[in-house]
Amino acid sequence: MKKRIACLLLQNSLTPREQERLARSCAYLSPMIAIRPTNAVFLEVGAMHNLYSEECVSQQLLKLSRPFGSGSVAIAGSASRAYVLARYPHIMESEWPLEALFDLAATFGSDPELDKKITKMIESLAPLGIFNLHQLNQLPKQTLASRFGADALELIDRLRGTIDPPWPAFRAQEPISERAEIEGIEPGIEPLLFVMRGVLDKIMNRLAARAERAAALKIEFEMVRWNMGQMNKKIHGKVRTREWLLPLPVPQGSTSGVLPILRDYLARQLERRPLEAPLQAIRIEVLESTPGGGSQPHFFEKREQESESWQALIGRLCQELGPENVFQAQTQERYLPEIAWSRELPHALDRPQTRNTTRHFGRPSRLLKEPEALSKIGNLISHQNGTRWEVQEWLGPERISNEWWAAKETATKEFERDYFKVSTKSGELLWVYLNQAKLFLHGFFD
Amino acid sequence: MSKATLAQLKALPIMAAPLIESERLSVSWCAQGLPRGALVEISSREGGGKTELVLKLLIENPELRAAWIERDFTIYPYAVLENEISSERILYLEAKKKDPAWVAHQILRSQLFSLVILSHASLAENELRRLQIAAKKSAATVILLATTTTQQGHWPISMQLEVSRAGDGFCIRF
Repeated sequence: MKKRIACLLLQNSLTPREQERLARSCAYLSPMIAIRPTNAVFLEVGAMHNLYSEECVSQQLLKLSRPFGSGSVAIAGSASRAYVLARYPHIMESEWPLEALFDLAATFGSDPELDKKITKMIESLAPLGIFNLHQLNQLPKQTLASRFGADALELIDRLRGTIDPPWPAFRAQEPISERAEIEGIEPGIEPLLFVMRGVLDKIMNRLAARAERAAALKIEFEMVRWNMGQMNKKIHGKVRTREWLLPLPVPQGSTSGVLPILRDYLARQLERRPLEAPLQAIRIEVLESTPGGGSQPHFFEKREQESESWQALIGRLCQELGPENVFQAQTQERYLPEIAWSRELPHALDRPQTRNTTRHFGRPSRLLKEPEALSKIGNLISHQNGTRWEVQEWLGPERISNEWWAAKETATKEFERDYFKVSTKSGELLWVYLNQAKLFLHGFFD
Repeated sequence: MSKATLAQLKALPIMAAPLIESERLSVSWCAQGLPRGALVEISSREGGGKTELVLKLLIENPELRAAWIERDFTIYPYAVLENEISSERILYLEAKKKDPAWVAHQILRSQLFSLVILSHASLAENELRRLQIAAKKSAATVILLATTTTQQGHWPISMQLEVSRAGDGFCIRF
């Protein structure tokens, strides 16, 4: 059997979900499918030459790609060659540019390290008068190995079609979707949730069997055809539906984790726009899932249970407060106090505790969002809001100045601040700084 | 014998019974410890030292996991990390969009945290009572940080501490 690989290359970048849909629809042509993230799908078509001709496969693939934008198809003896053919459909093989080396190297995904080596290789080939792959292919292999190393040899082999990168087989998983029919449900969110709990239980069991968690859900309400003119009369015809896409900030693996999020979300949505007609069915589909703990609950330990509660809590709080407002803190190697720490999405509960490597000591426990101007008259410093402090002692200064090495990258404004701890006669400890003879309050040792 | 009114009962001084080991959080700055499953209010002026006392509590009890809730964030996590308090121990929650009391209830309901710090959240009496019940159920200590001591409707609060700086240390009034 002769190996033949078809490559469908799309002009637009696809989301993982779109790409999965495309790959799934290609599965009727061949079961051997591979994906290049964002823009290409590969099919092994050598075994089906008795069923379809290569022209027919090309036509079928182009037809399948139409909903996702324009694309090009090429068929060759190896995946790398098929990919390059699809990338340069209007250039003769003998005139493929040296830049095609990047495509040969990145058939199923790019490698930045290898890209750097190829850039250097192209730069050094130009002075030798080598401008295309055909010329490069004429060079003796031994000279390539001594000049550019093993990677160059592998690229040449890929160009000749003698070797191919490992085939990252695409395995289509059955979508997880559950539906429940409803008859005569009471209006309100609680009866709905009662039905949804059953649907979610089934979904979560299926996810648990795959050791996955739900990361995005689609909720679909099917409503009966309802004629407002003739109340209580159902009309036959197309069913009206309402659907919501609900991305979960933290993937959830239990019904008890998802249900409170659904309650809040649907209550808000239905308050804004109530249902136009009675419901006849509810369907929930898992749009995205992530690998999750597939372990069985321990009989004597609460760790799994706690981990589930943690995920549920973080998910719900992120949904209500916004993911940026639920965080753990991490230090950053920066001098400017405002950016010396960063917000991080909470870690898993069972992550071992880290030791902090902070270097600056004596920072205040409260930091104002923006430094606030102060005025100083004698021993008295006063705030714009009328608060006055009588100074007992000035401790410092500690100079914090411009991060010249980072200023260009991070567009940080230049700064030079002399920080003082100021203890007042009324018992407060303030953190103030002097910048260009102006005094600012920046925090409290509260 | 006439019955006492609710107002009279609320005004009664709370007789603090000594707490047994499992009912309290040990801390060097409070000999009797802080009660578990109860509300504790720590108040001081801005810069008076209340936050530093909470940090000391976290340093002295390394097994404690805490949730820090504020509406407008002023806590400086860098200072927390500087005190060698591991970043995994504290979950920060900025409750701009939602009532801080609601966030505290979610935290308490999860039973994952033994310490909840509500900073600068002015709560009504009934909210305090609800929080007290939730704290009792989850056996967590809820610390309310404030600039002024709650005078009216303070009865759900088990312990009120007023902090001020005295030289290098603190002066704590119960």
